[in-house]
Amino acid sequence: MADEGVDVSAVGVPTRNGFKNGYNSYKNGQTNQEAKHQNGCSKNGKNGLPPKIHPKPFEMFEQTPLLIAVLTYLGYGILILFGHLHDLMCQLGMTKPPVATETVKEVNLLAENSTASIWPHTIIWDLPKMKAHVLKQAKLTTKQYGCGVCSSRHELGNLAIHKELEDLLAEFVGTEAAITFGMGFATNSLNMPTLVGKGCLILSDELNHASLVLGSRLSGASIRVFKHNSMKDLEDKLRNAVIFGQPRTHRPWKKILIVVEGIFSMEGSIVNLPDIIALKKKYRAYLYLDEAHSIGALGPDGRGVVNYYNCDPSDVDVMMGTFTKSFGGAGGYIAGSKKLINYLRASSHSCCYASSLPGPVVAQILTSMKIIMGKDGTDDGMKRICQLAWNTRYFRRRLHEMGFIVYGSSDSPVIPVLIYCPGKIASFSRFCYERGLAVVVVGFPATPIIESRSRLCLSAAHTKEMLDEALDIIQEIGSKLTMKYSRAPVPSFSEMDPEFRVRYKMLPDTANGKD
Amino acid sequence: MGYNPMRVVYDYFMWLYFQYSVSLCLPLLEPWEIKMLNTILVALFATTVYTTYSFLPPHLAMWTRVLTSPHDG
Repeated sequence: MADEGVDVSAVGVPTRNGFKNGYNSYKNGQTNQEAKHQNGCSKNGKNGLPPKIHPKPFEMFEQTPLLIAVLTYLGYGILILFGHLHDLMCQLGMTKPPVATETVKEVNLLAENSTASIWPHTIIWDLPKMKAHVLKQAKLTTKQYGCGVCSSRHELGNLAIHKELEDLLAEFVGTEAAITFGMGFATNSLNMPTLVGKGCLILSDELNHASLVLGSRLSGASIRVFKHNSMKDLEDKLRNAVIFGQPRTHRPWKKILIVVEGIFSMEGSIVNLPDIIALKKKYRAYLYLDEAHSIGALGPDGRGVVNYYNCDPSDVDVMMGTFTKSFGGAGGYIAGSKKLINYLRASSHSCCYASSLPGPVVAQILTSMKIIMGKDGTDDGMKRICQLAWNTRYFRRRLHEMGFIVYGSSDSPVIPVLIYCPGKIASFSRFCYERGLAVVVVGFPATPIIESRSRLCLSAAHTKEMLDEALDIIQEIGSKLTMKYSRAPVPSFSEMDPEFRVRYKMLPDTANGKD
Repeated sequence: MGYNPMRVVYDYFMWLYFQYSVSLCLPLLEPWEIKMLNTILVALFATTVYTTYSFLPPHLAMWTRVLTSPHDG
């Protein structure tokens, strides 16, 4: 998929759009000359500096083997048949309906001990070391601001610490301004209706998160879905939208909004941002980027997918993200131009009806963001970012070498390992748990029916020893359940690649990014 | 532990049964349901084998006869 680059210089010829020469070159906003500059490297190219180089991560989505697909359908068929039989027997009074019982009395959930935990997948704080610092901050803030203000930002809920967070956030993501909300899901679902409405078009990736889907539907705009990360499909849809306009009336769309995520949570793939920015500029569309999983996790400075691809933050119109993953807090944000943020501040529903972020949570987010940015005076954040990048490459490479089918991009810390058969899903989870590894398994309807998977999420707190232990367990269970389906050649990426190590400023001879 | 061929064969069949059971989701079923499904599948398989054994040779013989001697009937 990464190969489906868009050659803007080839399709940027003005006459291709059906306009006459001269007239439309203004309307399309670019001649051929300009198109070269706007190919994702405009700023530096114009200033005479070398053009920015975007890393091209390795990405693979191996097809389901036919036999496994048949067995999976057969398995679901058997389950459905016996499910109906059970229902029938319950109705006839032959058996009692199943009652869930508690089998394990007490579960100790220790983030620093679990080898492959789910959230927060990106940067878990080493508790003994960090706890004191973060807790102290939270305690101080609780004393100052209380536990919560029970009021919205428009009324009494606007605290000084919110302003501080928004300023720091804008600096962190590299935009003019930012605004925070008390809930990540609502950030998407309630702000999209503020931005687009009737007469607008939303071009949405097919694997977008439910919050984006809900927001798109609530907005009342027309929605068209393009194939996952397929630039060709997106360009076709964009071009059709520009040429044909709205259905029946053929008026031009008021706004065209491209909605994508930074890291797609189920596929583990990274959005092809440079090409999307090029397309967005070419067709004068807007870009809405959901960085819920990528902020704090991707890029040499941990500043998300824009940082990862070395793009210009001002090219992304709406940058959305959450604090729940990397920052270990709650809530969400939107960053963008000053004009956009002021508009949202005045008119967003989640600003006037939802209560604002509690003070201690803001303090937690501020502390963690400062650590990632290195503003606490240590290089702890940098080490974590390196560690996470190293962990990701190492874990993915080992899984590929073992022969598992692993989806997604080589640099994405969300790692889906394909299991397929429903019987194996349950067994994989149970066997891993018996050996001391908690894994999250996902099946239909969260995934397509023949693509059930286990989603492993890496964290910066994982050390090489932990990962090796987890890999040993996965290796053993994978052999036992014959889960190593992959027929594709082992990819060539590795955690020792020189350009990768240079990008993350790792020392060339150390085995681990942390040392 | 010496090398025991019976043990190896037994382990191999246990492995086969395990693969069969995880592929057809037996771990998700109740014990009696597993027995029922196994019984049905074994019965189906046995019937197939039996019918193949008892009916296929005469059937094939008949067709061979029909095809090789066209003036017969």
